Amino acid sequence: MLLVISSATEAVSLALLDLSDAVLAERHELIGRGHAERLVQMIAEMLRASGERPTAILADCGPGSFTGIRVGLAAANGLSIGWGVPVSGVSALALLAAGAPAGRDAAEVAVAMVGGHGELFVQSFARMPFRALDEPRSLPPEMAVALPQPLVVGNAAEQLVAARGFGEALPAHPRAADARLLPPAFRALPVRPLYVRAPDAKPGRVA
Amino acid sequence: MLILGLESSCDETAAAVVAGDRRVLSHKLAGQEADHAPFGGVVPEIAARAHGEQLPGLVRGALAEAGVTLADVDAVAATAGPGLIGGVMVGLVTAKALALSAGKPLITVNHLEGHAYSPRLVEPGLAFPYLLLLVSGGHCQLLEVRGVGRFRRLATTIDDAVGEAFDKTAKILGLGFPGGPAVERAAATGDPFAVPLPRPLLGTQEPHFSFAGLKSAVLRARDAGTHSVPDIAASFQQAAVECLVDRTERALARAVDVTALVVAGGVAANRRVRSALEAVATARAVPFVAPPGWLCTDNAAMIAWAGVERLREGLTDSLDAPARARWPLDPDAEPARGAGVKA
Repeated sequence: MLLVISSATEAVSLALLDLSDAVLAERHELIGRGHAERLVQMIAEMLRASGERPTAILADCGPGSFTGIRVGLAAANGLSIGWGVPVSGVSALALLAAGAPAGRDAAEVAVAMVGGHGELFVQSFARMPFRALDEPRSLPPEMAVALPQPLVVGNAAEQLVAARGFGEALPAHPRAADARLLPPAFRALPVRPLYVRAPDAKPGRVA
Repeated sequence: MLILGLESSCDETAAAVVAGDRRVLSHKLAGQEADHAPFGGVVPEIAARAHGEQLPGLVRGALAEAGVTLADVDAVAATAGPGLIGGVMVGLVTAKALALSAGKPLITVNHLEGHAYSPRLVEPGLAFPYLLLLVSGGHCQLLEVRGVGRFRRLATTIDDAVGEAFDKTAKILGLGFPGGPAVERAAATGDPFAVPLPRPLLGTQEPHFSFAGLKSAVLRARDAGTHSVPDIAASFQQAAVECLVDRTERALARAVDVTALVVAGGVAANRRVRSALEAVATARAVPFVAPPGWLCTDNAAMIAWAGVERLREGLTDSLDAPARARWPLDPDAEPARGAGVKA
């Protein structure tokens, strides 16, 4: 029984997967803000309804909202300690790529997420077999337009496709249940935030 | 009764297990001084990142050192504000998850409330109501602590907190970060009356504190180049102590039924501050209580102890409890001019 937690964007997305990755329960809400208030309450409600106790946890490490990432990992770590079960990480970009509808006959998909300071978090994936074609990056829009894949998924997909002038945008937020579509290696990241951007503060301002 | 407490509201990440009979079974703490030192102050995003990295290991360590499991504790308490919101969220959400997974109550604690009750963790005889001078990098208040969750704010700062003035003075004098201990060390060899510095609001009718002018005067004294660093540090410390003493004397004269004068918060670790306040209490024949230094600076034992105090009153919280950047202990206090910004 795997509990999947994603709170790296405006969405709080939860799923309970059984050992064969069938979806036993799911919650997916666009809440905007207030993850610290809502997330654990939503987990409690989902578990109460299903009557199950997870034997492992998978947590979305980002990239995305720095605060959302930390809230998700704090919840995952706390539950892991309390239940005495293992926790591992998954990337928000991989969740989005895996969730792009399989019916599209594109062999590759680009993921574009809202980043900080007007930048976009981007990464490209091949779909069959599923693999990453490059590293997660934070790019200004004028550089992100160089992504060649016509199919773009994510909460910045429409922005990127509009700026680039070609391709198809699939607006989406990471969905926890899509973890079932990912190969095992993508579900075994260390439980560390994928910030991709450094903090804004610069050293050296001493009076 | 056993409470696990978490603290993450500024630049200390901490977890502790405290018993209802005042035994501190464990208290684990990870400072972030090295992370923030290049910036000369606490950077919120860097603090939030460090809290997230440190807290799970500290929780495990606190439980192991206490020789208990989460199943043995009666509740999980965490600071829910006031403070740097990114860090507060990390601690609060971790506590919520721990509480949910173990089927234990969650107790949200006001960080200032943690400081306010901390003297009762070491002084079994300390009864409500007492007069509390709460002095730290973020806060400077005089409060009547009348009971659990019952506070009357008598005074606050209209600009900077006194600990902030210590930090800024250390920065101006190039003494490093955190500034409180650095200024105290430098002051030890200086002349406290060598540099004429202002004592803002000293002797005034309004009850409040002010330290911005003192901080600016330190900057001018440094730029004048006529005084040594130890003399400026000692003179600053002297001025700050006189301000604290004056305001505390004023409050103590008006608080008729208090059982003791208590000082808490990071600045309460300063030996000059402690001895001067002790003299104030002695002059008024009131007992003086100051927690040991480790309990004055931010820590999780005081949060766990506040959890003990609250659980005894049946005060627990739901899993959707908010993290609060601002959270005054006495919401009914009259706004002070310029203030309201400090919790």
